[in-house]
Amino acid sequence: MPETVNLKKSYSALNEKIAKLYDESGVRRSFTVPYVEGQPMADHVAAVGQAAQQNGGLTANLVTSAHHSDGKGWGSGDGHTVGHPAEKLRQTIIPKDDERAKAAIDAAQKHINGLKFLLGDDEPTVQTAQGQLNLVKPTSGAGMNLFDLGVLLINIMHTPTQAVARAHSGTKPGGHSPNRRAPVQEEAQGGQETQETAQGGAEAPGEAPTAAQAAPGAPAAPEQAQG
Amino acid sequence: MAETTPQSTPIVTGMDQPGPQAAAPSTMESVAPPNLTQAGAPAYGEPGAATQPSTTVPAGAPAAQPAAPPPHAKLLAMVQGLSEGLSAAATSISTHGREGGAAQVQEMRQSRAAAQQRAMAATQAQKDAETRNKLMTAQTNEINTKNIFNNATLPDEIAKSHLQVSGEKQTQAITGADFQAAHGGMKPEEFSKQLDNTTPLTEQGNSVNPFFLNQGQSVLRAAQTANIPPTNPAVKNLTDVLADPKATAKAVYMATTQMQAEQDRQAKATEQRTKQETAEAGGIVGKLSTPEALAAPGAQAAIQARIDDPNTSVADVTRLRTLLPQAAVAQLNAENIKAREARNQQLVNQGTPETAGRLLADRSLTLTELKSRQVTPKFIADAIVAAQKFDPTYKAAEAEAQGRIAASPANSQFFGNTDSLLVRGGTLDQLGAAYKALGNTEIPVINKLDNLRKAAVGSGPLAAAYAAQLGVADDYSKVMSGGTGSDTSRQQALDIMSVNLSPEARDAAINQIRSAVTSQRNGRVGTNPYMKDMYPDPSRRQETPGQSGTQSAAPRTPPTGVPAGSKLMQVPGGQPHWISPDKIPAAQKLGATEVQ
Repeated sequence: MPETVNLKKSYSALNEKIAKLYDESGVRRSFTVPYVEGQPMADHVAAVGQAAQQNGGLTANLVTSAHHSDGKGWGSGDGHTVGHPAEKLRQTIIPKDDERAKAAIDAAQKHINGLKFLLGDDEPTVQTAQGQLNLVKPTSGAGMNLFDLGVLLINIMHTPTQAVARAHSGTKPGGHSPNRRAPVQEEAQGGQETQETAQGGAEAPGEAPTAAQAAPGAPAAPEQAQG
Repeated sequence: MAETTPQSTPIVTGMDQPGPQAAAPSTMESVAPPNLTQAGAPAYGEPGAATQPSTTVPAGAPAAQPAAPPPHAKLLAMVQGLSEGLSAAATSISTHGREGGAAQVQEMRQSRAAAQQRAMAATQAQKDAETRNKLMTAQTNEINTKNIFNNATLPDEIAKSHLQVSGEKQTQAITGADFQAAHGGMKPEEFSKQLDNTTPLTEQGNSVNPFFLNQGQSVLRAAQTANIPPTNPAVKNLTDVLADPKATAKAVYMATTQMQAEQDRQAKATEQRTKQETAEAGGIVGKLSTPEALAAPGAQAAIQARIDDPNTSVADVTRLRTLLPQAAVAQLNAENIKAREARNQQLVNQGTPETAGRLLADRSLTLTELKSRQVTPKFIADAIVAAQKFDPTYKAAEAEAQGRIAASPANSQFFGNTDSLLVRGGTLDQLGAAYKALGNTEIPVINKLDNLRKAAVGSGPLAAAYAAQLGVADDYSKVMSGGTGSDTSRQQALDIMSVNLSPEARDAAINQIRSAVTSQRNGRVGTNPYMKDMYPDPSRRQETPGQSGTQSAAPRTPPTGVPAGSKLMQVPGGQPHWISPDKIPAAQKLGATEVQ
């Protein structure tokens, strides 16, 4: 059992597998917007919005965003956000024993395992996500259309991811329910660890901090969009 | 380095508004660029890619154009109408008028309209489905974005301990903050130090936190608002401490804590009592003990039937027994009021305003009763004038109010309760007789109401004594609480009786209860003359088991043929009999006692 997990990486991998499933199932992309090294996240999001708008809008395209695992890898500017036409995805049925679908489901399971590791097996949000994933695991999504499988794999991650973010936020002075805490100064006097220590120093040396960590509200670089 | 969970997710450009073709199915996939991943061609936005995306949609282009009407639509409609008419006429001719004609034309038109409606509904359903699909797509995109943003708030490598350790510390911090919030901002050690401070709170320039004084005053005000009497020891103690110029923080804090505990206890007791009384009011006993049920003809038979019912619980049986004398008194009062009405009706019908005035003046007749006798306003006015001749102090408005109060259901119930205790042969006399039957036997003290209810069910003089005790406790409770009674006031009556074990003390207990009830009764009658008439002195009446209502008290002089020295004796629950002197010891052995 590893000491730590990297949720950004596992979620990026999930997105990549979904996009790969769509690409290799014969559905043409509507658009591809690559990450640009050093580009703020807000600029990337704006570019994605513009590209989507020129291709039917975000109501007509299912968007996934990931780093290229076979390129420079996660944490770099080597990645892209792609859109696939939702209607075409709906019309394409996943065949039996589709390895690409299996790979996407496995990536989802890996991400849920990371969430379980942090929140515990008995956390209701994790249990729900696992239960929903279990519905498609026996058949590897065979018979479903591409759109429904992608929507399922993305949606089931929402509440447990939110729970982790909330739990982590709760450890910080600026996090949720700040009014229920003793004054920050007293915590520091009480010998509480600093924010850097609390985060476990997990970031690799030389890695740029995430935009959200750098300054709340400041736009993040695209490579941090998927972590 | 501060991280926060985004309070609101940034709106992705274009997500807050539908795409240019939101109202129509997207056809972009047909002109989408080739699969860039497979082809390896540079993507839009990548170096070497086209500066414009491969497909564009003109902004503001209409989503769908309405279908143009076919040429000669009007002519076609005319031809269709003509053909329908001809078809209907042909059908009519061929069937000799049984079918076809105008009805067929109408049917054709309805059928065509229905087909059009179905087509429209199908089109609408298709549009709805498309809208739902678009919505689902947009929502999924939004959730994917949120997931990415939430992940961005986390460290790259995150361990379980990052959440847990901080969580425990936070719990401790919250506990500490809660303590401070509840103790005037003081930390536990500071609070302890203040308690040890012997400086009086009211001393000028003292260093004691004002929290102690403020909290004490606040709790005292709350107690006053909750109507806790000033004689309550906790209230008295806190009042004294707050008034003491030398009171220390510790003394005030102790008194405040004691007051808070007292308030909590009272709140819990009130809640429990309310629950119990609600349950009792809805049960068999509750239904049979309402004033209306007790005064209804046959009430005693109904109560007796319930007592005899093997399905009635033990606790209910003992309480039902106490209802029997109450029913007797309630029926007598009802009959008394009915008799008044009959007499008044007769007097008014046959009499004059002068007669009615005399009845009003001596309070035999109320103004309300007179008004209900279908008399003219002039008759009423003349009667009032006549009443004032007989009694110059007679005031119509006052008399009317007194009459109305006297006849209220609440008073009917109250006097039913008092009189069932005070009437001869009532529950107090029954208790006295039961005690006498015990002789010098000591009654085991039963100081819990529930235990008494269990002990009262059985045979023998002791069970009879317990049953009588219970009956008295029940009636006493209702009189003292002015309503349906409660176990608290029943327990009070029981306390009076249980602590007195010698025969003299038992008599004293009965007299104490009799005096208390009589006092309550007299207080209620007060100066209201109607009450005196409607609820006559109970000591002049006799409750006889097995007979409806009450009767005039039995004469104490023995009838002819009864040997001299005989005593009127009664076994608890039985009829009174004159017992000759030689048989008195035997009767006493059977539990008979002399009727007072």
